[in-house]
Amino acid sequence: MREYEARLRTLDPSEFTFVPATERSPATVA
Amino acid sequence: MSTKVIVVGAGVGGIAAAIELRKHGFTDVTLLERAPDFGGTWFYNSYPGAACDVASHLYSFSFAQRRDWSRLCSPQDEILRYLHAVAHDHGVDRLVVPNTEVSSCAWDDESHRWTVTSADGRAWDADAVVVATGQLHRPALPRIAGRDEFAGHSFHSAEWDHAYDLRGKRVAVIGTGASAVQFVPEVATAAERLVVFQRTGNWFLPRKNRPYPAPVKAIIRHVPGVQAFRRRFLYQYAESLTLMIRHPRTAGRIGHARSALFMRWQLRDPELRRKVWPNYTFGCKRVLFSSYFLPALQRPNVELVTDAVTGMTRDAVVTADGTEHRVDCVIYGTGFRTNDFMFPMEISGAGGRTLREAWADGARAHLGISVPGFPSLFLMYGPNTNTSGGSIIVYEEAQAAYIRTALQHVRDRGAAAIDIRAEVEVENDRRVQARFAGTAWDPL
Repeated sequence: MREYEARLRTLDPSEFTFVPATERSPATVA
Repeated sequence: MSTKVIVVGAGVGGIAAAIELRKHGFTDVTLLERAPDFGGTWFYNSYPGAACDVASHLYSFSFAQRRDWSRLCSPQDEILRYLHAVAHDHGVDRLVVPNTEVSSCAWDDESHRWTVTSADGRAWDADAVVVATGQLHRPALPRIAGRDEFAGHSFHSAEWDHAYDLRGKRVAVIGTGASAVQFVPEVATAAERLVVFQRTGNWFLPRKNRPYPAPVKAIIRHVPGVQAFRRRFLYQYAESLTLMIRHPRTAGRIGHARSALFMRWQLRDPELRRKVWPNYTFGCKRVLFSSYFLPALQRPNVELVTDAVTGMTRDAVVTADGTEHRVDCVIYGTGFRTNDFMFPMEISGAGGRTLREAWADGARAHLGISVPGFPSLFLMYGPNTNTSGGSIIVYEEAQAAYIRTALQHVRDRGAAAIDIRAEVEVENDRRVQARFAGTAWDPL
């Protein structure tokens, strides 16, 4: 439990792409 | 504009997610629940003897700890009452839409939003979807030749027929997993005759789970620090079980020895001991806590059958040795379709790719939560997140916080959604799979 709990305490945004709200086609922003 | 979140499932996970999101300003949250009431696993599983096998001081939310549990491991109705109280106290109960079976969740590449549709044709749009459908409520029924021909009464343990009187009946129980070990001792005292069909034996550890004596309850309730100490102690105990599973050749030997001693003490008949004894490493299959199951098998009205079930007739369960075990009722303690996760619900992500396609080679998700190509879709209690020895509520609280953090990043950037990078998920899965090596789940 401890290890998984600890891992979930931080979210590294660089591991994700963000879908922009304003564009109509799927794209990503940093 | 507020972030609209749909949570599919209003069990422990769904309630945890809704509370966490609302605490952090995500107020537009709706929980869609298949059942007429919320509670998930604890709504469906009401069989006699149903109880948690994790101690309640740990099997409870960190932010809603109780000091008045009736016993170490609470029975089903006490857990359900607890969930209702927590949901009510946090204003989540009024967000639940009951009797709503979600049939599909579809991502729209144009609007960058989700459409969630129920089986009766209603629809909701959402910026994010949390799938908290659980694993322990959809019955898995065995494929037995002639099962449909059986003319007696039958039901699965998760769909217990409380109106059916077992007294004076000849009853078959198929399966000896975590549910069966709880209800078999109850059925054994009611039925005239009980035949238990076992495919695989279990490792047992003792648990009487008697109600706390009044002085113990008073100490837990009134002495400062005792509740917090119990929770910490139980956490460490659960961690020690995980350690035994991760290191079967070292720490696992302690668990094996403790279990073997207990089982030998309970099983005085060598023939029954031989039939019950598991043939795999301690911890590979869920270790069961019961001081009542093995004694129940030794009652004069109970028989344990380990020959494979090969068929059923109008009035009997047939085993490989050709014996017809005539019974009035069959109770399936055959577990749940845990590998189905949220299916048969259809989920389609970016480009119309379905989750079935994404999981063609097996279910996987980054940290058990995120699947590449399914933006702002979050799983709770997803692949590889079953605890080996701990409390799933601890996990689900942590998952809820992670999901909330993800949505905060989306909100802070003014983005529409968040999507895990495929290479990150692949690397995470590689690491997880590699760590199975040498555990009790790895063939030695």
